[in-house]
Amino acid sequence: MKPRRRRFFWLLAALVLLVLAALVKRACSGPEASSRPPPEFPRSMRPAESQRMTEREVLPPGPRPGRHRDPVLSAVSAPDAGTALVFEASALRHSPVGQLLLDCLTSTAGQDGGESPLDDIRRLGVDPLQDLDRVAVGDDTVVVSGDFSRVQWDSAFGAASVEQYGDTGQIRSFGTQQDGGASPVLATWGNQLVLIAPTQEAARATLDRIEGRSPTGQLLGDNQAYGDVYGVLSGAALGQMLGPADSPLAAQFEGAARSVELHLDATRDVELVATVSGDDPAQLGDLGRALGGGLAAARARAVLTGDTSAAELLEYAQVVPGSEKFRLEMAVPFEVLKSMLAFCGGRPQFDAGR
Amino acid sequence: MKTLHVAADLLREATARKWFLGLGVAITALLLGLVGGLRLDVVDGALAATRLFGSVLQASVRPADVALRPVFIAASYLISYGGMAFGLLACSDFAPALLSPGRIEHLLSLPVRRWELLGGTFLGVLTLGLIGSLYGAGGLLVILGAKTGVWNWHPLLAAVLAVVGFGTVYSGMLLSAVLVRSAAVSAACGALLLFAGTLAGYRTAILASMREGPGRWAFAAWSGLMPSLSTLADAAANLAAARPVGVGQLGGVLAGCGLFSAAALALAVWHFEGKDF
Amino acid sequence: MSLALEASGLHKRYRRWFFGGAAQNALCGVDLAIPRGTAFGLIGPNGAGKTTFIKCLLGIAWPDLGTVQLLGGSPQDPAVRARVGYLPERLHLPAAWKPLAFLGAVARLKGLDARPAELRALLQRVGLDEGSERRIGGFSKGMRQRLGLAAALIGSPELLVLDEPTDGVDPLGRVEVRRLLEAELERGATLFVNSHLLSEIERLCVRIGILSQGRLVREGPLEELCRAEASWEVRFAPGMPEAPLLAAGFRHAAEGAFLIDAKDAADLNAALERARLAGALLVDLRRASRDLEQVLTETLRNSA
Repeated sequence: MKPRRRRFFWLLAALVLLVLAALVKRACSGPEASSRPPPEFPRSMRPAESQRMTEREVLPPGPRPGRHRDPVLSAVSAPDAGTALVFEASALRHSPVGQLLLDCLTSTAGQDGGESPLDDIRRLGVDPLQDLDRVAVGDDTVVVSGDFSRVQWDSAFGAASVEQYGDTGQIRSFGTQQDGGASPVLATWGNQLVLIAPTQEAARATLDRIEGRSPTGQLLGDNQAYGDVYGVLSGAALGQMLGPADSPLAAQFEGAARSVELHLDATRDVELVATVSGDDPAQLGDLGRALGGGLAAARARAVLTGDTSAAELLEYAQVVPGSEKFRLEMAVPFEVLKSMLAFCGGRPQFDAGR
Repeated sequence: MKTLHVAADLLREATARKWFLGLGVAITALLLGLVGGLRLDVVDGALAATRLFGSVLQASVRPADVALRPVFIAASYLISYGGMAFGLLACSDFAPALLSPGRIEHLLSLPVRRWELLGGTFLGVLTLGLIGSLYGAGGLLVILGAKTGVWNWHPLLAAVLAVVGFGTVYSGMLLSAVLVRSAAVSAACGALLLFAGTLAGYRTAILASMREGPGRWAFAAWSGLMPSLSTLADAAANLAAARPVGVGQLGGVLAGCGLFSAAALALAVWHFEGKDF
Repeated sequence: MSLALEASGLHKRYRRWFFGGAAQNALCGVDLAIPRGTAFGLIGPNGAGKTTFIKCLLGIAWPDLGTVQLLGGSPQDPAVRARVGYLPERLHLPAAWKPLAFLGAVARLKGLDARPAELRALLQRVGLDEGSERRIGGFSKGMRQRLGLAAALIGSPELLVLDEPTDGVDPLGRVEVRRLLEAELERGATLFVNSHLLSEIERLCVRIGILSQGRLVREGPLEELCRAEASWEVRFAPGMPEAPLLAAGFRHAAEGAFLIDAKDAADLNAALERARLAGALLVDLRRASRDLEQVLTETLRNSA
C-alpha cells in the first residue's frame, strides 16, 4: 500500500516551505537603502531654466535686431571678451554646497571674532541671502544682479564722485588707492545691477551694452544660460585656474584649448560639463586623452584610499571626444567639498573707500 | 548518494543532445568573436575607445572598469533571462524522459529511492545550467580582463545567481512533469513561472498602480508566493557591474527562491511517491 | 523452506480521475508464494494483470490491499531491491550511450563498483561482446533485449524478475538465454518469468501460475498441471497390428504410442488385459501429459 506516512511528511514539508518562502519574501521586501543616485550632468537647457531665461529677457533688442536681452548677459558679453562666467547666486544659495559656503563664511567670522563679508553687505542695505540674484564675471568686470532698492548709495559711498550715465546708470569713482593704484569703479544700473569695473571707460562700455547703445559679443548667448554656474572661459584663463604656469596640464590647456564652455549644477553634488574647443584636433585629442587618463587615475586613487564617495562619482566622469572639441563630464561629491572647506580662509577685503 | 549518480547520468545524457552541443558551440563562437573582433584601447587605466570588427562602439574616455560595466550588465541579464528561457526549452524533457514507460519501471526496480531520482534530475539540470553560465561569464571576464587589464570576477557570482533563479523555474517544471508527463506542459509551466517571477519582482510598483478590488487581492496573493526572479536578475546585474547590492534584500530573495524550489520539489516528491507506473 | 517471494491478498484497482471511464480491477486478491531457488513462470491472456502483479511485487505500483515480501523484506527497502534483477517488458535504453556506459550506470545505481572487466564479461555472457563499442541506438531488438538482460544480471541478484526475456531474440539466441538462466538457477537464484512463449516456460520453469482477470486461477508444479488425470500413454512392442488395439479402446498418440482413458486402476488394467489378449506386448506405461497451451486453454475456459 502507498506509504501514507512518508507521503504526508513530504506534503507537510512542501506546505511549510511555501509558507516560509512567502514570509521571507514579505520580511525582506521593504524599501532598500538606495545607493547614491547617478549625477545629472547639465548637458542642455532644462524647461525650468528656459522659463527662467525668458523671464529675464526684459531689455529690448539692441543694435542688432533679435530677441529681447538679458541685462546680465549683455553686461558681461563684451565684443572681444574671452571670459564670461555667471553664478546663479539664488540657486546656489539653496544648494548643499551653497549652504556649505555660507556656513564657512559665517563660521570664519566667528572664529577670529570679526564679522563675515555678509555683514559688510548687510550694512549696505542688501540682504545677501534674499536680494542677490546673480553674479557675473567678465574679463575685467563683475556684475551683480538683485534688488538694491534699499541701498543708500550716497551715504554708503559718500566719498565717491558720482556720474550719471545713460538712462538709469550711475558711476561712482573712488580716485586712487593707498598704494597708488586706481580703485575699481562702482556703477549701478537702476536698482537691479551693480557693476565693479577697473575704469570708468569700462563701466561706461558695460552700461552702453546694457542699454543697447553698443552691440554685445557672441561669447555667451541665451541658449547657454543653463546650470547653476555657466559661462565661457578662454583656454589660457582656465589653464591659470588649473595650476601654476609651468605645470604640464596648464601648458597643455593653453596650447590646445581656445575656449571652454562650462556648465555646473550644484543641486546635489557638483556636476560639471566642460566643452573644450580648439583649432588643432590632434592637440585637442591628446588633451582629452590626458584628462581622461587623469580622471581614471583619480578614481583608482580614490578606490585605493577607500574614498567610496569620490570613487562612485568619478565613475561618471568621462571625456567624450568630438571633431574640434571634446566634452569633459565630472562630478565632485558633496562630501569632498565639505572636506575641502573644513578649514575656511580669511575674510575677503572690499575697500569701500570709506 | 544515489542522487549524485542520477545527476551524473543526466549530464552524460545531455552531452549527447544537440541542444547543449549547440549552446556550447554558440557560446564558444561568441567568445571567439569577441577575442578576434573586439579592440579596446586602454590608456593609463582609462578606456579610450571600443571597436567591434572595426566599427567604433564608443569613444569616450572613462575608467576602464566603469566603461565595461554595461557589458557586464548586459551579459548578466543575457545569462539570467536568456539562460532561463533557453534552459526551460532545452531541459523540459529531462523529467518526462525519466518518467517514460520502460525507463521509470527499470529505475524504480533499482535500489534508488524515488526522491533520489527527482533530486538527482534537479541537481543534474542545475549543474548543466551552472556549467553553461559559468563558461559564458568566465569566458567573457577572461577576454575583457586580458584586453583591458580589468579583472572583475563578479560576473561569475552573477552567473551563480542566475542559476539559482533557473533552479526555481525548473523546480516548477519538475513538479509539472511529475503531474503530467509532457515536455510541452513542463516548458509551458516554466515559461509561466518565469513570467510570474518577473512580475513578482515589481510587485510593489504594480500594486501601487492597481485599484482596490478582487484583481488587486488576487495579484497580491499569488505574487506574494512567487519568487522574485526579476529582483534576482537585477541583483545579479548589479553584482556583475561591481555596484552595491543590498545584502539583506539579496539574501531574502535567495532564501525565498531556495524555499520555493524546495517546496515545489517536496510537492513533486509527495506526488511521485504515491504514483503508479 | 525460505521464500523468495510472497504475495498475500493483492488487490489493485486502476481509477480514471479524468475523462471518465470505469475503474478497472487489475488484481483481485492474488496469493502467491515462491520458494527460493525455483523457476516460476506466470502466464495468462493479455490484460490478465501479469505486468501489474510484477510491478506490485517490485514496488513500481502500489497495491490497494495486500502485502508483498521479497527475499524476506519489503520491496520498498532499497537493500532488498539491490538483490533483485529486473528486466521490464519494454526497457528504455539511452540511444546515445554505449553498452558499457549503460551497464556502468546501472551498477552504480545498484551501489556496486562498475569495473569495466566485469561488465565486459557480462556482455560476453549475453552474447554482446561484438557490439560493445557500438551505440545502443544502432542495436537490433534482440541486442537491446540481451543488454537489458545483462543489466538485470549485474550484481548476481538472488531474484530475477524477467518480463518477456526473449522478446525479439532469434531462436538460437533464445537457447543461449535459456542456458544462461539455467546457469543462474544452478547458482541458486530464483527466477520469476512472465512470457507468452509457452514453450520457453515449459523448458525453463518448474512451477507456473495462470493469471486471468486479476486472479491466480491455477498454480503449482508444471508437471502436475500438465498431467492428464485420466489418460495413460502406452507403448507396445513393434509389429503389433493396430486394429485390435484400436478395438480395445486405444487410440493413436505421437511417435508410435497409444493413449487409453481409464478412470481408475481397474479400468486401466482391464484395457491392458484386452491388449495383451490381442497379442500386444506392453513395453512402457506412463500417465499422459498435456502441453501448457492445452492447460492454459482449458483453465481459461473453466474460469470463464
